[in-house]
Amino acid sequence: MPVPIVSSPIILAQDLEFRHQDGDFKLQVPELRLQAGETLALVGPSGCGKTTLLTLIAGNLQPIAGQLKVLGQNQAQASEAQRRDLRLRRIGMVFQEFCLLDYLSARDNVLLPLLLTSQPIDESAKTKAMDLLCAVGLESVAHRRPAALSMGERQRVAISRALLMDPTLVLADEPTGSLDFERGAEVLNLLIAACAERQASLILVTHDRTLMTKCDSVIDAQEFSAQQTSAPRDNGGAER
Amino acid sequence: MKGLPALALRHALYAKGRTVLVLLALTISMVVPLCSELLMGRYDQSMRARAAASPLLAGAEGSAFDLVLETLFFRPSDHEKVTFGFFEELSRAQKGLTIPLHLGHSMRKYPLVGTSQEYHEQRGLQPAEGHLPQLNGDVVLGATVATALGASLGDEFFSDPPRLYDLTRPAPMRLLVVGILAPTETADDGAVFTAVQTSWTLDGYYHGHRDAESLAETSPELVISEAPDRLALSGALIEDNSFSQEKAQDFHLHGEQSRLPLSSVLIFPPDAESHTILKGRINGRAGCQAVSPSAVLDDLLGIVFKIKQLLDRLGFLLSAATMALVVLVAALSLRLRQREMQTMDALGAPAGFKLRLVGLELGLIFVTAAALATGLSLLLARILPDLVTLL
Repeated sequence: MPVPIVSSPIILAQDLEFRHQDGDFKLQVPELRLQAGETLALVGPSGCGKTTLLTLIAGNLQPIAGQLKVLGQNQAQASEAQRRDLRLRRIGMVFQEFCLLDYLSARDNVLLPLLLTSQPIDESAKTKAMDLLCAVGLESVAHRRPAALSMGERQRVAISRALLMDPTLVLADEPTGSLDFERGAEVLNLLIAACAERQASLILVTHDRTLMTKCDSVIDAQEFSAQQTSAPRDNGGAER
Repeated sequence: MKGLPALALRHALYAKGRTVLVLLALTISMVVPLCSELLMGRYDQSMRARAAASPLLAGAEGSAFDLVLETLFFRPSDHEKVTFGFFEELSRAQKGLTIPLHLGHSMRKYPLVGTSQEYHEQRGLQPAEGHLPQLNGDVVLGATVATALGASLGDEFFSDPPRLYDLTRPAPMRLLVVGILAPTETADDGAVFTAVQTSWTLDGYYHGHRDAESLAETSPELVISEAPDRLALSGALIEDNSFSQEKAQDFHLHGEQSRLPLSSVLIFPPDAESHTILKGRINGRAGCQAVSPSAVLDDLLGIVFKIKQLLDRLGFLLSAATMALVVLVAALSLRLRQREMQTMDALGAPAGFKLRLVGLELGLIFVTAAALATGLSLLLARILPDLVTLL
């Protein structure tokens, strides 16, 4: 399915610069664009800045120079509260280590973003969480705590959690890193399908080059002078 | 339930060990001062009220504390006795109502108070069942005693032997329950009341005799001499101190009643002038003292409250140590939950959410501990034995 072209990109980064406080690492992104519904794979060796870029987009870090617009909000100028609010309500996050809360059931972990907004958890919210778990085949373990789930099940719970608030953008940091190949592919397919269904954009950080083929475009974070390239989804996204 | 409280409660329930530890530490640190405050307040109030209802107390020279505690709260004491003659003398002075009190005996470990009917009137002690003692050997039970013994009217109990291996003392005597007092929430609830004569009988001063003629027939070896108008029997076995309605009038005393002992005399002067005159007159006599129980209790409670102040300071230290423990647990908890907090940050939890979460969780535990401590203190204040009896 062709990616819809819209005038206003979901993410627009220009001349973006970030430096860690210890000064050892510097990230420079001349330009990065992501359109609505587009899937982007960020690749590169460890330490090249993939997670840092994702963290900048999520608003957990702030650039030292340049422009970074995420969902219309300039992250460089936005306040801490604004960045947190954007992350909570419009960006879905998936982590390599799943990051589920041990003391909550699978269903309540899915409901966590809603709990963080301090909204009451009504029946419709619970139904929605169950629907999300159902979609990833976890309805039977919805009341189990993470410790009682397999790695693959935990990541599927994390994906459900990322989708609860109907995000416009999903950021996934090596979501298959803790899973074996088979489970990884399964989880990734679920994630991409769920984002496509919701017309949500997806940025995927991965080492696994086979997974890149499932994305619309691929960026090698090692270069970052380099440009984003488009690749047909079906014939495999090539790293450029 | 909304986000923060729901998360705080879930985590508190999940981390049961930590929650219970903090809950216990907080509860104990609250119970100790709360309980001492409640108990001291209760005893202060009840002791002062009792003292205020006993304007003047006369007894033998010695510790005023002992005299007051023995007379007002029936605490066992080795305080010297006064004589019944002293009581008669005070009564003749006509400076107020005088009530004799004879203590030192007990029934099933409850103090047996020998006194007159006026005591019951002055203290407002009304029998809930039965009547006040009328005959030698009659007793009326305080409400607590009756409940503890499961006693009812007509039951009989033996008096406790004063000294188990002293054969010269009269044997325990059978006492008849003729009344049960309504509860008054005072020391009277825990006492057994009887007539002064009964107490003297238990002392061995008053006694009765078995029927001499029938005894001569059944035990002729006890007959020392026999004449048509006179029968002399051995004095060793004929004393009979078992009480009965028929024999009540036969109880007698060899000697002068005015020399019999009394623990103290409660005096109710009609006015301040009589109070002062009587007190001065008694204190002027050798071997006697008159005290105002309120003043004595003020002194006593002054000492007790100094001890309480010390305990309060120790309680403060305990609270400080507990708070340090709570802070330590909170800090360690935050470290253990670092990953959870990072997740919340990564998902976009509002600033301060984590601190509010931990604070609310501790708050929930604190409120629960406070509720537990209040309930426990109220319960302890009710079930702890009367402090006065422990003194």
